[in-house]
Amino acid sequence: MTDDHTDSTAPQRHGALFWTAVALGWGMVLFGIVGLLKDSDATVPAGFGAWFIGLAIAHDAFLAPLVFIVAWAVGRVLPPMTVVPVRLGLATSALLTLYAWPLAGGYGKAASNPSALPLDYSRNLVVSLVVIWTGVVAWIATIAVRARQQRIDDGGQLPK
Amino acid sequence: MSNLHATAKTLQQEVATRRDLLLTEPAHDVRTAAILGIALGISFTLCFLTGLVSHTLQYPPGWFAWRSRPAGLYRVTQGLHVISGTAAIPLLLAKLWSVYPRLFLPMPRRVAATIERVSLVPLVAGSLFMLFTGTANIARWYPWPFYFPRGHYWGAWITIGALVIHVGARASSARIALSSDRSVVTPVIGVANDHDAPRIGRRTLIGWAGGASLALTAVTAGQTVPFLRRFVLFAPRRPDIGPQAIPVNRTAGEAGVSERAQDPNWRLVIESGGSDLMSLDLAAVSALPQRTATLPIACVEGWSASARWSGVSVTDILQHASITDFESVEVVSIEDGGRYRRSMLNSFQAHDRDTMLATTLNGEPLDLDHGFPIRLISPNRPGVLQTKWVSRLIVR
Repeated sequence: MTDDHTDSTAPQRHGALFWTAVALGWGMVLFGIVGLLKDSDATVPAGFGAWFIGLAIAHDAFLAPLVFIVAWAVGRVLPPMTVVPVRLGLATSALLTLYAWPLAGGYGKAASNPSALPLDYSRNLVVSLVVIWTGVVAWIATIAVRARQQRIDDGGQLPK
Repeated sequence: MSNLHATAKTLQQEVATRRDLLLTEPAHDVRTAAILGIALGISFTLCFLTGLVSHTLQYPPGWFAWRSRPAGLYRVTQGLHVISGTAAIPLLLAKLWSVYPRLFLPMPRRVAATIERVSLVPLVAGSLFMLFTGTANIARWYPWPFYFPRGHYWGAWITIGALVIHVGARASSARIALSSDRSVVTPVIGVANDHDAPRIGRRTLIGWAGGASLALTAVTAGQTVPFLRRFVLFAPRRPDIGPQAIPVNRTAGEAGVSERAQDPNWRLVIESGGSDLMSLDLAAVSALPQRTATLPIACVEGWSASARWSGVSVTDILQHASITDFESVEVVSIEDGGRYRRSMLNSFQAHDRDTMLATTLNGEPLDLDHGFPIRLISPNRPGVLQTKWVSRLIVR
């Protein structure tokens, strides 16, 4: 098995365009790596490398599996009509929380400079999460009302 | 031992089965990856080019001379830099989720496919690195050991180079996936293991990524886009908050200049040809012909604010010292050290009449944190190069 087994266009993929892109792209990558190493006082290559690879591992080995596991659990536990809204609600909440984390945590806040990070980010995060979940509940309610209407239209009996 | 081997084999088969099932779903297919990839490609390219502009301005090569007009160009480029980077976050996470099952494909045997696969390491790692470090930087949070601007700069070359390879590898398959008949839907098979829970479809995923991207832009971009200011919830700055209603990047206290900036013995010295030609106190500077201009103060971190600045044009002050023929001017602060203690005005900037040593901001004397007694303000320049607490002009 190759990695092309899901891709019927495989034979066209590695033509002249690909090899040109490889030459140009790896040229740029090497320019970056060499620049990074020559500028080592500022870039601290070992620390840079640890963060560069560490973030990829954090995503691929922890964050992504967690997302799949939570999505799977939501599918197992919740009624089918709530699954998509809840999954998207969770994804949006997680995204916003990750983004707002350094702001809400105030890691960069300095008493000497009140104009930097001047807002109440924790409050804004909580308000945003409330708005997101209000939207999720409204979405589920809409699905439920439509399903109920559909059953009535179909002449079916309402659930007891 | 053989039990362990058998368990590993079963697990491997289970992973392969799940991977292949997922890859038949529209949310994980080539078309979805192509659509998200194009959106990401556009935002990354915009981010890279605007970042390159700022880097080049801060480390200008000899052949390069950035013009002083249009006055708001730098502001627009850096606003776009942070907006495109922020907007890329949901796009990247959606894209990685979409293609995640491909991580579990075996290594290909063909050389070209192997090169393509290996090149994904700098692409994925670089993308996460660039967006994470950029976002943390604007929140002024530095949990890493390297100097951010340079790490971010070299990381950008690595990432964008890997993106070029990826585009070259995927251009034809993306084109085919996008031009194929929409009505042909890959059948969703064998999701019985996951019982019959609804799946996230292609439209839902792309709609979520696009919507989240727009929403994140809406609640952050007000730090530079005036009409979005009232929606600012998660921007690290609001352009109307700060001394004299303008944000400050580095205060006088942080720069360690509070006392010297307020010292009555402060003087502005004009130096040319290695000797001091003239020394002026604040009253003497204020007695020179005054000029007023509305100019933005724009930070590479994406925030910007327009203000009305008054002071003495650099060309006027040099004329006062009988200097009319000059190429460039170095502006020096009273700060003892620091990367931004000095900045250079190139010929375009130095000769622009709106390049001035400002003494007032929006009609009031300059606040200490904005550079009292005088600061440089010049059209179309990075905020960090608008030197504060100026004490010397060196004519070249």
